[in-house]
Amino acid sequence: MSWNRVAVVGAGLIHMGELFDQSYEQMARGAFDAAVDSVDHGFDPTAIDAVFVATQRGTLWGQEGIGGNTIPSAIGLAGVACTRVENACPTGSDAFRVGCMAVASGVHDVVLVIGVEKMRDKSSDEGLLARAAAGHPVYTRGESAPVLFAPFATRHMHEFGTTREMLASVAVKNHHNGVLDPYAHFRNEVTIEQVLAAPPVCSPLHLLDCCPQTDGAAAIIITAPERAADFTDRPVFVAGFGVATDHPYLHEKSTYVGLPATVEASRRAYEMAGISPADVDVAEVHDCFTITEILDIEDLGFVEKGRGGVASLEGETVLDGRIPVNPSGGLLAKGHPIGATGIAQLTECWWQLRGQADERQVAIRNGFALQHNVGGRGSGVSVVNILTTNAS
Amino acid sequence: MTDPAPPLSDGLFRAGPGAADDGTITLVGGRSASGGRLHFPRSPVCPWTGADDVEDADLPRTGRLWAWTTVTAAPPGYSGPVPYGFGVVEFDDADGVLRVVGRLTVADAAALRFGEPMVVVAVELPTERGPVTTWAFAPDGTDRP
Repeated sequence: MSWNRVAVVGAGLIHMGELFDQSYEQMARGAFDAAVDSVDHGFDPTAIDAVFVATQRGTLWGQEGIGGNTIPSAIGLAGVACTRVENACPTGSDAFRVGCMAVASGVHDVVLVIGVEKMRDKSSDEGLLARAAAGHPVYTRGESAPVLFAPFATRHMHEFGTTREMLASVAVKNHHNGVLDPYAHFRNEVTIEQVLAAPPVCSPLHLLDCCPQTDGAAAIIITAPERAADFTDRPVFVAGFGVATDHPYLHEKSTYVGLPATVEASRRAYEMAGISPADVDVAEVHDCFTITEILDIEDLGFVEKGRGGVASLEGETVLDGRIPVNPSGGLLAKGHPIGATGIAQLTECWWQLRGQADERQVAIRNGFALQHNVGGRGSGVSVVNILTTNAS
Repeated sequence: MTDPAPPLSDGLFRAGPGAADDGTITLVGGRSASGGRLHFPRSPVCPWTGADDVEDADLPRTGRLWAWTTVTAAPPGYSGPVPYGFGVVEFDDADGVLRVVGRLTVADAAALRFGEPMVVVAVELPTERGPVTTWAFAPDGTDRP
């Protein structure tokens, strides 16, 4: 398959956390300014001719009425083309994919993809109740995300001998990386013992097996490769992407030791990029729970199915490991402001590929970084984007 | 005798008066005549094929425990007892296995076993609008010493 490549020329985010003192638009402005400031040759924002806004919980989380169209004014670009994209937990990564298609098609020249999410302005109680009321009459009643993922952990432990220590090693690693990431929500080390002793949520998941609820924003600027030299001498290119769906509900799943949407989305992305999992130098993956990262690294092809827990415990995914995973701290430590999450992950990939990740910098050998999200009642949709330093 | 609690939701199961006392309940799913495969809860279109020729179909009463969790941090809006069991039970069907999620009567993860025979029972659950009748899965004990 042949397609017109896309170049990333700027990216940035705000410090993730509980941002009660910032409005939705203020968070967007902060991420936008960070992305503009990151452009090597300087950047005149009026070059942007389309904006894609990634916000997932617009109607449930105190962002009512926002169709993405308050963002252009907030960033000084009133009048620009602007569209909001929503696709469950991969909202940010899918908005990026859509933005790439807008550039690759030749319709738009310079595109801003910006993810913004307010997770904390409404209490967890209000948010979860609103979510339950809006969903399936039975399966979303009393549902919480950990309850959806716990049976996957139970089955993975049963079928492959995965242990709670293996799950905990994911939290230990990602918290360590978070300490090194100035944008992370949590910047504290945790030990295996602390993860094991944390308050139980639903067996076998305890509190530190779960990502926090986090406010945040991230932004990325893309253009056609032939235009990239106007902005930087070190562009990063989009090598490929893939999106795939699966039966959304837990009871309809064909397997509980993997997420088929991730397998298929990554297969499509690898094929488009013309690479295999072994070519990936670093990955930012969807670790909403510790078990999810274990499923991800298997489903993305980094380790054999069933070895995800062992590989994590043995350090294969640490910063100087065989395949570093979630150098930013992941959702577990950096946080999961849903619409911003994918774009923040892509920003980390951009930094890593350009050698700008400071203490978290991993070795870049082949020049490929992979970004992944999965979500929607657990795992109804997955998106994978692959960035590269290779121009062709 | 008090009036029986109303069902959690219409169309999910048949349970007579006092079901929670005698435990008798039948889950009602759907089967597409063209697709053939059973699903639950009954949907206007078959989730496996998208066909719209779905008719009511009763589920078996007994299945096998596939996966489970014990919930110790209850979500908001839930007013039942804590901890509580939640799990996935497999039912054999002519066209493959059907999985159904629901409460478990056992709220101790360590007391359950993979593949354990489970029977569908009626239980009463407190909610913000008063008690309702719903289904749960209980070990049927046939494989226990």
